[in-house]
Amino acid sequence: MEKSLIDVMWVLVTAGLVFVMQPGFACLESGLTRSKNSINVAVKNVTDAMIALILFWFVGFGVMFGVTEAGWIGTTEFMIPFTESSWHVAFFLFQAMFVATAATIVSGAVAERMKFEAYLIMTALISAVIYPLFGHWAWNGSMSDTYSGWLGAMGFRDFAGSTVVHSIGGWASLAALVLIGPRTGRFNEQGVPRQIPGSNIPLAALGVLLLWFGWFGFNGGSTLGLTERVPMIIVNTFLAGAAGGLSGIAMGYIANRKVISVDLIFNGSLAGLVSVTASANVISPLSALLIGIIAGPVFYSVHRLLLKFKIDDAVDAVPVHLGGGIWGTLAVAIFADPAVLGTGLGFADQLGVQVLGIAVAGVWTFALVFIILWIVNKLIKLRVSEEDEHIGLNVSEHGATTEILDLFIAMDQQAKTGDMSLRVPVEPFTEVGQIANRYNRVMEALERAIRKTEAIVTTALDGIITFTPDQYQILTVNPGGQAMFKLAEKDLTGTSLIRLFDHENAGYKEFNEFRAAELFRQVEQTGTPVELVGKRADGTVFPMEVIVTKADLGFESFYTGMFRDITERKEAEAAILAAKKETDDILYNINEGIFLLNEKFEIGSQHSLALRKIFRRQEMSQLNLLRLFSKLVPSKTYQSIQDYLELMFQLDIDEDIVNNLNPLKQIEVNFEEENGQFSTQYLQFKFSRIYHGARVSHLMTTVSDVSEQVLLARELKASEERTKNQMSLLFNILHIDPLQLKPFVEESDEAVHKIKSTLKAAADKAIADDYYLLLTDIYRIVHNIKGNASILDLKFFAESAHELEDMIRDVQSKPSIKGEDFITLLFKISDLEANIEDIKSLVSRLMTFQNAARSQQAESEAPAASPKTPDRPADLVISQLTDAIRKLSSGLNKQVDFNTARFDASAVHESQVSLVRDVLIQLMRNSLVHGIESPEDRSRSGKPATGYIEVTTSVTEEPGFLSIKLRDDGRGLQIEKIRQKAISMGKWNEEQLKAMPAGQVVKLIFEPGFSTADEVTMDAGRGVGMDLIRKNVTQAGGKISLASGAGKFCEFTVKLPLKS
Amino acid sequence: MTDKELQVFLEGTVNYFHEVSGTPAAMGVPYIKETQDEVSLDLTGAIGISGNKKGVIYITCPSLMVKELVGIILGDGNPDSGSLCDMTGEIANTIAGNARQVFGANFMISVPIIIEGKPIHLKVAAPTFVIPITWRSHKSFLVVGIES
Repeated sequence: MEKSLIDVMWVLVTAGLVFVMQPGFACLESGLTRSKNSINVAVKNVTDAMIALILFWFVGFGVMFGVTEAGWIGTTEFMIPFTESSWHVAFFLFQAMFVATAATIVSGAVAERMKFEAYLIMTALISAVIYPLFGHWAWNGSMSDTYSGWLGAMGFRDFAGSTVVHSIGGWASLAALVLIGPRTGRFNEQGVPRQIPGSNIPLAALGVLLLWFGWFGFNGGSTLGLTERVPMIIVNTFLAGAAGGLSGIAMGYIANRKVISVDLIFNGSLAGLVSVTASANVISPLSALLIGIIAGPVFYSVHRLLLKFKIDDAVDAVPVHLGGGIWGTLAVAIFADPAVLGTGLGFADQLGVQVLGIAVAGVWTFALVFIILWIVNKLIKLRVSEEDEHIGLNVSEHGATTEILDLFIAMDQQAKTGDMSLRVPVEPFTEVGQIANRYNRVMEALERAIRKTEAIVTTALDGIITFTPDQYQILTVNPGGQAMFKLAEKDLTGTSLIRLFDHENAGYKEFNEFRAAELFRQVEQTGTPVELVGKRADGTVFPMEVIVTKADLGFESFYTGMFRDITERKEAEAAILAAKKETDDILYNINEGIFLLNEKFEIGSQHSLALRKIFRRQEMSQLNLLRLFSKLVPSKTYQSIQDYLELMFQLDIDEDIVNNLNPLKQIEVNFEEENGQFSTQYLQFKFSRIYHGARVSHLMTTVSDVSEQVLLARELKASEERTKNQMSLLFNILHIDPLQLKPFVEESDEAVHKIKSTLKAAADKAIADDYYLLLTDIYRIVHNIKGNASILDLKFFAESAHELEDMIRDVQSKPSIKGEDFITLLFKISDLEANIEDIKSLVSRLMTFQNAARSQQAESEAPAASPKTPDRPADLVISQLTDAIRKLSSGLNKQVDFNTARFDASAVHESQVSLVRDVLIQLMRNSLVHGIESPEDRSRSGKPATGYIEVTTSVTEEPGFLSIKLRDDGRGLQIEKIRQKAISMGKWNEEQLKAMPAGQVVKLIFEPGFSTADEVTMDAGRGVGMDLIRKNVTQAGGKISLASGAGKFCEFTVKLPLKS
Repeated sequence: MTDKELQVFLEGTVNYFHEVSGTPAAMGVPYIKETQDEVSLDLTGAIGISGNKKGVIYITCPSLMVKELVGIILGDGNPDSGSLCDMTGEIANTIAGNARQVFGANFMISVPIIIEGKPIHLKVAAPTFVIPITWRSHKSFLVVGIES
């Protein structure tokens, strides 16, 4: 079988192309695996070619292509010397490239965990036994189209090795994968696969393209000559590869939810190439395209199937080469042009023999590889250790260094020595280099931080001591600690920490490890330092603050303790406490409320206890002073307080001026008591500014409760007023003998009470009295008081009574009198009562003086002189009458002689003195006003200018009666005037009056309200006097009568029951 | 105190009865209370006055009168003693409140104190005025003792 040189050359060229698949695999596999295994994968691709080539030359070629023994095994052509022809050599070379390819398929599948030597054993097995023997069965004699291997003879056709090369590689890979198991971390505990990303996808892409290029030789060279079909074969190869790639994209797009998966593109196209390999020479381009398209789903299905069984194929070699190989082998029966194929078999037979071939390859390869590797696994272990797998096979298998390894070593070194100054080597333009660069920067920052910490520890004044957690043995101590305890580092390290504590001064009976443990635990839990007493080498002690933290590094733990000498702080604290105590004492004991008021008018927290007492509140801090006032003072005052306080905070306004406006200089506040009553206090506020820089920060405020002073001042003022009134009163009464005043006061007092009781009786009555009559009763009493006052010449008092009389008359003149009308009268009565009270008090004092003066006089005078007995009350009546007549007559410009010679005061019983006086005064007034004429009139009537009035007493005129007479020599009763007055008053019938005899007319003068005086004056005209006399005399069981001679005299006789 | 000021209390009281019941109250003869006088009926509502005026005002009423007032105001024909006390306090409070409107905020009034059937002792320096107020044949007394 001679071939032309062009054929030889073609075979040689295509052998070269097939060899390109070797770097193709190297690139693809190292690109799809992690960088830590890249060297191992690449090296496997190099070495398997070496082993495959040598073993193929030794035995493989002979077994595969030597003269067959019954179609099962070649028996010649071992270690051939190549003496026959160049074609023979070229053929060997071409086939040797094929065996290398078959062997190298496995390297990708088992990548990242299979031991290198185990892999070499496997390569040898494939190259020397599995591949050549099956190749013999399928291909022996194919170079001369006389298929002498038993499979080939049966019509099994596999043009360039879909089964013979790729499936054998695939089956072998599968057996190895089942035995060695998945890479660590490929499946989680639940069996869910985790993607292990490739380290260099562009490299993998290059590998794929190299494989494509090699495939042109793989399929194109399998014609074993440059024939007419070669271009078509290459085209078919290309079409199937391209279709497979696109089909892969589509699969990935569907399966991975619209993400175009890179490895599906690569492996899809490779599956297409594998699939078309069996039939590239006997199919149309369209068939090649279809075969490629179908290869995609086939590959993907096998890929999913492997994952389901947790078989980890690192580069998907089994789905590509076994899946694609099986599909390609079956496709021969489906798509091949039978004429060209030339087996003479029908479709079914062809398909059957194709299936048989696939099955035989599977059984043969899988079984043999499994058994041999199982044995090998027992002997030397197929798989690297977990740690090696972790480190990466580059290092564990080949001791290869990579930049990442260098990085790891440098890091380990740093961890071991703790030397922060070490830096890892930076490989420029590599990812690891970037990581190393970052690592170095982190280390620089860390080193800086540590240096700073070290500087702090070294220069710190605090003692920083590390010690063991069990024995409290000191590990390190900073210079601060050494200075604090006055011990050198060498004297401290290794010794017990406990000796640095002074238990006696700390108040502990004993300070031992147990106590320390308890304290440190407490400090750790609370995070707050504990105060202890430290002991220096010289035996001196000092207060210190200790805080400890436990550092737990996993493999070891220690305590770090911070010891601070707090002597100064303690002293300062003591000083502050003492100062605070002083302040507290002041604030607690001062009587004034003291506080600072801020710009928001809030009371500061430091204020005196008195403040709380003044405001009757437990809490005053932060209380708004204005708000406080809002409840205590009227709104107008509140507004002025607010304005004032705002001004006080304004720097541009003079403090003295503002202070003049202080509305709180003295303020009345009303506090509600617990019982619902109010108590009124007078407070005094003083404010002065406190400056902080160029602003007023606070107002220093003092509050005093000046209620006592205010009340005293008021009392004083009232007292002064009273005194003034009393002085004036004194002037008014000074001319009167106190002895005369006393009965007046008593009687007036009684009269006022009478008025009050009259009113009360009227008020208490169920049915209202006749108000007019009630007022008349009151009027009489008032009039009597007035009369008595006039007699004593108590003008102011008489005037007051007169005013009351006026007021009563006003009310009486109203058409209808109401209860309301009494109110003004009440106030006047009240005033009258007050006047009486005042006089009473003065009289009492005057009497006291007088008595004192008399007793003094009595002592100084000679005992021989007869003592002057005090006048009887009745004697006083005469002296009062004498005074009254004198004053009244001069007031009326009349001249009167008052004759009392026949008046026996002793005849008047004490109980009747008051009545007698009242009667005589009224009668005397009556005589003076109505009876005695003016001197001119008297002269005209031939009478002496001076009239006379005489009072007499008689106990004999009527038995059992004291008769008292008052006679004047005046004009006598004027009957006609009385009659006319009575008519004008309208109270009596005019006709009756005119017919009335003189004796009856005279009696009209005793009717209430009757007076013949022409006008109402202080002394007459009210018409009450006579009416009152009759009433009083009658009440006393007496009687009154009168005799009158016109122009000559008038004589009243009052008879009172004689009392012993 | 002046007669005008006393008039304020008086008018307040008379108006109160008129407004509440529609029946005017009539004032009887007023008088000045003597120290020993006791002016107290079944129910008394007293209010303490402080501030710019100091003293006490109270109104003392027969319980039938208060009962009738409660009947009118609350529609309660058979009030318990608590309701009567409340009513009495209310009358006193209204009179004092009315006076406060006239005299201003410095006329401070306490919460009403209710006294049942006991004599009232006042400690007031000023004269105390007693004003009988008759309403629907019931006679009550308004007592005003206020220092200026």
